[in-house]
Amino acid sequence: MATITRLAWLGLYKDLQRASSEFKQFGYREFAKRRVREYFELNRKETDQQKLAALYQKGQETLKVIHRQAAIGDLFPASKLIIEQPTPAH
Amino acid sequence: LQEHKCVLDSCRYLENEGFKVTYLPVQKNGIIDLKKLEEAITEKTSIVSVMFVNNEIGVIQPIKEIGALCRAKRVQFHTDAAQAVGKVPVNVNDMNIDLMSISGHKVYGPKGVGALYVRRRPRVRIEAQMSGGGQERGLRSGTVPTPLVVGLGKACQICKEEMQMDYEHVSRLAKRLIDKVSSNVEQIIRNGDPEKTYPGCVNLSFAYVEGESLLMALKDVALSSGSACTSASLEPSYVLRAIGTDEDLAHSSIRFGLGRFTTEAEVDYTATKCIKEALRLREMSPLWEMVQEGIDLKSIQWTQH
Repeated sequence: MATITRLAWLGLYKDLQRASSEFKQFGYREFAKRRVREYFELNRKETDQQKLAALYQKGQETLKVIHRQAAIGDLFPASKLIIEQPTPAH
Repeated sequence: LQEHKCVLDSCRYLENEGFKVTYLPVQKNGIIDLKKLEEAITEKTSIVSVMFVNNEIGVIQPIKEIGALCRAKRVQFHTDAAQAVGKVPVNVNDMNIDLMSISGHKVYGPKGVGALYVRRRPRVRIEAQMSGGGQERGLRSGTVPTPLVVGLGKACQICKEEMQMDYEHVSRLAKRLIDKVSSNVEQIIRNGDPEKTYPGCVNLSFAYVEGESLLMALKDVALSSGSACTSASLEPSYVLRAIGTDEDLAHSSIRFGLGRFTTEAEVDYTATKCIKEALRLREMSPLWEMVQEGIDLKSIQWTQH
């Protein structure tokens, strides 16, 4: 079984982060970005090739889920949260 | 006396039907006294119901100990785990839970679906809520809504996988919120036990600030002065009164809900706004002025009866 290169992992991470940024809803967007990072940090020291392969697979599937959910989110209008709006001068 | 409104109302209904219901008080920290529970269980007791995590102050009850006690006394044990499932580890076998209520939207699942765990051995006999086709051994008749059911299952699966991450995130946010608010405003009291608590539910009392006014001032943040389930009345929360919070403090409490989708930026915004508004309201408050002058408010007789 071929090992997954560092480049491939980095690519996956970047794809996931980029996909997460597609969420229009602030909460979901921040959550997705944070959770992706947490999963990568959690498994940073994993060396078992089989587990790594499973994780890579899971990452690919998550990528699809994020793309799909972000697209579904786009179907409905989302208003910006109060903290996203430029602060008016008091 | 620290159950969810819906359980309390069911108890009241049972009382009308002729059942005897004993309501147990809780200690100051919001946790049930096991000794009192043991004394309250009589030969005629058929069921004990204790909330797993309280919805207003977030305290976690010693469910495992209560379960063991109920098993030893051969009493059935129901727990309302709507706030616990998916957030803290729950095991019906370890904890000797016979009946457990679960709610879909509390585990980030769909609204309008829930579940009741019923132990098969030792058998729990329950009356069906509605009669009909007799599905699920006659306990729950009718067709289930597939999307909701799948949603509940998937939500639970995700919660189980990511419980640790969610818990750490929520703890971090709760600490950030409490530290920030209490370091900037004096006389902030956190209701409920500081240790045995689910951090996603922070209940703070802003002394000498009226809770509802603070809510009005924070109208761009979704907060509540109690739980949504008791919002029909402006009375102070019975949960807070049960833990012995003074009437005035119970009136000035705000409940902050934190979850998976809450972010640091949102917490910061809320905390900053809270501090600003609490200080502003105190500035206007005659009570606060009197306290600053050193008058003990409890010594004042407000009305003449």
